[in-house]
Amino acid sequence: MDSRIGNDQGLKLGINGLGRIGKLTIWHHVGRKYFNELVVNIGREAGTSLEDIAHYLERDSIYGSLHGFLYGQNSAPLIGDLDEENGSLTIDGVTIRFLRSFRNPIEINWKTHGINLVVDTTGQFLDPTLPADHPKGAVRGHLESGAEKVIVSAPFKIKDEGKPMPEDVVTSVMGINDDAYDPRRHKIISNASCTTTCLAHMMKPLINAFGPKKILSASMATVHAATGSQEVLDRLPKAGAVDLRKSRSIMNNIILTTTGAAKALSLVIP
Amino acid sequence: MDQIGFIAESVRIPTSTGSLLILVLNLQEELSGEPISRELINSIYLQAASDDPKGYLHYSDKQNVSGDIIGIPRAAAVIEGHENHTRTAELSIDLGKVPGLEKEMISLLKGTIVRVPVTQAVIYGWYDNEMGSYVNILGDRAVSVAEDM
Repeated sequence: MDSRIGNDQGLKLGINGLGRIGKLTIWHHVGRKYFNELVVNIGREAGTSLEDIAHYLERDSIYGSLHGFLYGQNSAPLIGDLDEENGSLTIDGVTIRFLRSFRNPIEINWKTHGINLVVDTTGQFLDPTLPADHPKGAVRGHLESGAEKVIVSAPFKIKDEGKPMPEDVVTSVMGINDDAYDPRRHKIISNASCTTTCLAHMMKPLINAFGPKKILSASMATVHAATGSQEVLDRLPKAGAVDLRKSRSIMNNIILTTTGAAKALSLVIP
Repeated sequence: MDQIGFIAESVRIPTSTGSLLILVLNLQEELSGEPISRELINSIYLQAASDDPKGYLHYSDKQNVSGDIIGIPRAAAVIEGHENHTRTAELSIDLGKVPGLEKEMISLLKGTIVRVPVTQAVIYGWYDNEMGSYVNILGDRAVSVAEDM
């Protein structure tokens, strides 16, 4: 049987956000071909035409070209069938459709596009205690507009720390606590952070070898690459900002910051 | 994990991807037995990496720089075996000074010193915080959830 695109149920994937994680998620699934269609909500216009979005997808300052990344040096560009009117294109046989109208999850209308699984990569909707119709938007909004399951690409951020975690919510790191996800119960899944993922995989063999009782104390430090939250040059801190280092230039600085990775660890390794 | 009282620090540096996690553990040794050495720690990781059903844990004995691990598929952590190290120190406890013992016990035990080895292990793990580690595993997550739908 030829290399088939798509899964047995014809499931498509919705992706919210087209930043570093959103874009690379497209790269991943174009290579993998488990989903034959990806519906990507950008929530606004980007550049002046679909060609600009195609170029953004094709090249990457870190990983090179999409075709080079997937198929090596002698491969040919993979993006084609640009349909400006429908906001769609194909990459290596996988259809990608772009939605550019709404940022609030409850307005995205995943249902009309046949999407019931959404990966939210925006990092903007990480509080599962907020109602779907929260004025600034909430992750539950995806469930209202058609998604049965939502995966968020970051740890949950609960504004009101007194609130209990809802029943249909879980944090899980693949290969560590996969069993924690119950498909019958859980609708919103946090995939944790890159640091928690690394930390959990580093801790697990030692806990298995020595047992938790033998570990008297532990600490970790991460020397972490820049992320989109960094500034290029020094800027005036935002109103009410408590962490002033976030507004300093990432060029030529080592910037101290906080990480919730250790706290999050206890969610995946109790 | 809650009982261990984990502390976590983070710094950001001017690279575009590729991060390092330095894990420091203080381990209580057996009173009689092989001390915990870097060879033991590395063999634990080497075995765990080869046993890992999904291949998320990698072990390297090479001398890597951050750029070397960028893009390695599904490498949640690449353990830098070359850099891992351990130091063993000893707690000396005079049993006669243990609080809460009866007077008779104290006079019997006074001057009896117990030496408890404690080993500090420092372990280095790389992760490609964008594609190699996080996004590839996020992709596995999406497929895993889809399969159960």
